[in-house]
Amino acid sequence: MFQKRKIIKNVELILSLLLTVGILGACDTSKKDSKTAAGVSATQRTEDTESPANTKDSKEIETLTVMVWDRGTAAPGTTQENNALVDWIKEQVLENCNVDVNFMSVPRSDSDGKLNVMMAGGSAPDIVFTYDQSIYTNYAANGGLADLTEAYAVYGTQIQEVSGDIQYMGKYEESQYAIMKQRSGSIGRHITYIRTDWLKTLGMDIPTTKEELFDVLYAFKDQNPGNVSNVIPWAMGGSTDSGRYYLNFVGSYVDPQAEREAYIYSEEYKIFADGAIDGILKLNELYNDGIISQDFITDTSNDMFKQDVNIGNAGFFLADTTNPGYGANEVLQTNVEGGEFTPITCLELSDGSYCTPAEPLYGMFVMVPKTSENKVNAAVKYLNWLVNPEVAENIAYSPAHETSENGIPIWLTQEELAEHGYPGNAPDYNIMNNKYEYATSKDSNVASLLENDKWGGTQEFYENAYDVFYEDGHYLFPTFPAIIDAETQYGANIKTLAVEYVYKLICCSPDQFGSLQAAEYDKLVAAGLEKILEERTEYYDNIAAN
Amino acid sequence: MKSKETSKKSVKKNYNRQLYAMLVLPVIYLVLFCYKPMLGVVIAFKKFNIFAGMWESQWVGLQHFKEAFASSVFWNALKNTLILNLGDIILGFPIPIILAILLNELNSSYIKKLTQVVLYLPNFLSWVIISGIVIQLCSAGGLINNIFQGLGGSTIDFLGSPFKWRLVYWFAGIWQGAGYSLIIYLAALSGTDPSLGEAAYIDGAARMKRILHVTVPQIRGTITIMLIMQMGKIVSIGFERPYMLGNTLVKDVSEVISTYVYSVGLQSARFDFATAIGLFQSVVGIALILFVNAIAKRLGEEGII
Amino acid sequence: MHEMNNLKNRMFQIVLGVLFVLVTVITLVPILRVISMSFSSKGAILSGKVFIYPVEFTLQAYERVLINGSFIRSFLYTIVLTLGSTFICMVMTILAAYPLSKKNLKGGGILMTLFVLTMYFNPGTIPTYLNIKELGLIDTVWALIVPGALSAYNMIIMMTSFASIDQSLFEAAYIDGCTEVKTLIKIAIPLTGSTIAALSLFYAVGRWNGVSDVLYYINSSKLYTVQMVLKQMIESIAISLVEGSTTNLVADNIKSASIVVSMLPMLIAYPFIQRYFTKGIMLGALKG
Repeated sequence: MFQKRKIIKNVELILSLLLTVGILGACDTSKKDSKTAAGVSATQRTEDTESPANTKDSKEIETLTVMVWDRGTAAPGTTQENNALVDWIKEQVLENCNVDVNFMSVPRSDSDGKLNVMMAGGSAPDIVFTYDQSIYTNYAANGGLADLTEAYAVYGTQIQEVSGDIQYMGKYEESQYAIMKQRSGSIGRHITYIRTDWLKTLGMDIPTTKEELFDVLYAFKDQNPGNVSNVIPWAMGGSTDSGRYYLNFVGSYVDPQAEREAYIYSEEYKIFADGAIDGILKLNELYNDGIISQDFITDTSNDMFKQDVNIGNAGFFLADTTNPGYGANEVLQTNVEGGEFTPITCLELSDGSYCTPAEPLYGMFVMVPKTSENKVNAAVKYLNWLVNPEVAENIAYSPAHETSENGIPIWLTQEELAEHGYPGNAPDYNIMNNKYEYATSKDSNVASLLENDKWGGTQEFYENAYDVFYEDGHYLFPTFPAIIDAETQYGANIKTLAVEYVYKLICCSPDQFGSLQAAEYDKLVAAGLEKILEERTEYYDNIAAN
Repeated sequence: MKSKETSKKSVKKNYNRQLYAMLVLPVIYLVLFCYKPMLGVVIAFKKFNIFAGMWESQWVGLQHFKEAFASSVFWNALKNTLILNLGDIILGFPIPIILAILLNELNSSYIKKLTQVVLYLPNFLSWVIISGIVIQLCSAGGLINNIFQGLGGSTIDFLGSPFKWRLVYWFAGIWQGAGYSLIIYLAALSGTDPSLGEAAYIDGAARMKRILHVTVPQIRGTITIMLIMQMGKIVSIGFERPYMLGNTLVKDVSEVISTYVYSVGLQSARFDFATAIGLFQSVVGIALILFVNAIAKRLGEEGII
Repeated sequence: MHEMNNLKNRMFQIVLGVLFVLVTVITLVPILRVISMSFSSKGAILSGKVFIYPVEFTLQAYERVLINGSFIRSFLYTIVLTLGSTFICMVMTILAAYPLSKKNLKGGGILMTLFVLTMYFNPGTIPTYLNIKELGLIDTVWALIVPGALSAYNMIIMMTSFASIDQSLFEAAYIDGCTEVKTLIKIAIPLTGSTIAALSLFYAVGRWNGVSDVLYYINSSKLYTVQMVLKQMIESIAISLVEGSTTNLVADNIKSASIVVSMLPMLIAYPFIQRYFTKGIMLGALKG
């Protein structure tokens, strides 16, 4: 590994020599071209003959410090800031952008907390990032970020090409304050899974509508096809960080919405849209009929949910798309022979269509702190280089990765990465673009799922999964680079309270539903819910008018 | 006579100088690391902009306090904080003392050592871990209910009913913290003079009497100090224990000031609001400790101040 | 009567013994579960099969934890840091507690009040961070030692301990011409050995387990304490297809293994410190 570093350093040296020779050579050719004035510097002439990505406007090398997440997975003898992958990146970036990039590691756990103190103390690196939109808006609104508009226009040409359509989210008052990372694809957030082996035993078809689903669930309860000690037709957990266990179901009781209502009642707010209360009422009915896990509300760590799913007691659930039960079918099959959960689409709206809210195409907010204002050019150049799908692939899968026959890159194991001196969290260095070359067609995506097999499934299984995850009912909420004050102030708390609101309504006895709903809704209002909805409405009406 | 007095006086001055010299480092520490950052409480009165800094941010006076005091959620959280802390004191304070005294009476040093090590272990575990175990133990299908059912009883809903949840909270706290206090009392006991106890024993005093009249008074000072400090903390409460043990059903009794500050303040990066509540807690805590300290002194004990 | 006393004594000892064994067992159950989980397979844990003994025994979790490169280095570094930090903390604590235990010290009351106030006023993360930054301690090992060097709570306990020493001992020393420093070293410290041992343990455990200061004040990973490294490992998510996902995919057995490993040094050191808590170890001085 050390040898490799030496080799890389030697390569660097050779490249610099070549570059110098190249420059001298270019000087000659440009003289032959003769149109340019003699006083123009040699490097500027080489600019014209090279691709746009290699813009250099001075002979000086700019330095840049970039944030990188530390997950404690650096190869032995290396650190997150100093390893073979960093060397590779440095070398490439020096060559392509004339920028000397260094990394500053920030622990992944509580990365946002540390980011806050670093920004407050003025000691943040030149490039920082977060998934949390409210953090980004806090920084942008309070003047903590550098204006990237000009640099983006001049040096961000590749970004414009590859992911220009999502950059609107990083705008604040007409200026660009963040560059958005592009997601691999727009995958549905929450998916329904069902025990197809139980269906086979009962001789029932895979449900495609809610009515069929209810028939199946009651059949699970009455007939116990898996012959388990404690059959739980619909398993749920009790964590309050997200509405994953109910959101799509409740949302399917809301009629297809126009953009205005869709924006106001986006994501977790959908439970407050017209019609949603019927979904919650139905869940209450199912719970009181014993269809839903009776103790889910105290299962705040979701441990019981995981157990029920993995040991084979559960028949159906709605949860996060990937790794929903944390063990997927792998663990289930060690406990139940032939046990299989299959993703399905069955929550139809009133007009028969499906609505599976998906993740937006943009991911992280990548920003430059105001204290690093003088580095915006270098920063954008670096991000511009990063956004290239090939570069992204080489970083995420590591430069040493191989591709299978059909062009699917193969992940290296942690051991293999360590052997090369690469850190185990190579994808963390890839902060601009997750959409690799291969990820553009269904076939290659399915092949990728199969290649990196996690569910113990067949080709057919993954083809179906792909349809359910990405296609059926695929729906994106309208998104705008809005800064809603009320949401910044109360949003985080309201999200938790909203989940608690639904949970309580599911578990109460049917006759209490009405009064409890009124009382709990009042609590939400007191905590700022209507202010948020009003400001969202206001924002939409304002931009709609313009 | 006179010469003795003067020599005592000059001796006293000398000692004082040395004593003050000893205090130099701690005082520097106090100023640099405790009081200097305390200036930061000014955030409680501002609309804090982390880029403008503490001093340049806009002044809003008592706005955050008003927001909290107007919220019924805040007062409920305060009430819960007091209830849970009082329970900790009433149930949890005496237990380590009793354990320490009993351990002191035990002859078998093997059991003594084993107990001490084991009882201190829970202190190493964070509430994230402990809560997972406690929830599993207390759940409807968990170990405790299984035992009850085996004995012919019915399932008890520990985690969903407000009062029973409090019991779980208190006993989990005792489980986790007893070992820590135990060490303090054991250390205090080991500094006591066994000859006094032996004298009482030879006098024929029953064991119980001896404990009550000889052993306990010897550690009275430590007990008092510990009690005063815990009383002063009655409006403060850790975050992890109520947060990790709580759930939606019992939120009305499990929401305390620390979780309130987290939900409404810290989650949204509202440091100013969080600091305001923290200031409120500090002021009340100080007032309480002065009050309790004064009472202790009235009762003839050595107070903290 | 003596015989009756003996019988009574024996009964009492037996009852006590049983009581403590029970207490020990009850306390141990959850810890046994953590240990069992660390030796069980991920699937067994997910299926809820693990109670107080390992199911599907495997050393896989420990392999993952221990083979991590930075682990061993940070482990040794943290031990050295803990020892050094504990020493500094105890020195500071004693330096403050001894003078304040003298009730006749002029200004002692005010100073005491100032100390007590610090237990209740916490300015919050940002002012504390800014302070450390201004003092130039960021990213140095001193940021992990100095800010926590004196706990008012521990200082009060130490002070109480000094104050409970019989005054006659001090008077004898003064008459003998001892200075305060000498008295401190020759009399006060030896007599409060058990409290010093206890507080040292508290400081050491605090430093060993503390991660929030490492998180905020330290940037370079070579200064990470072992708990920080373990925390990193737990947050490490296998390649997730869902960006920004907050679901933690790391196996519970790895988490449990890291907990066991981090508890070990304290467990090993504890018996050695423990003998200072036992009765009658330093009482000779009183009789003399």
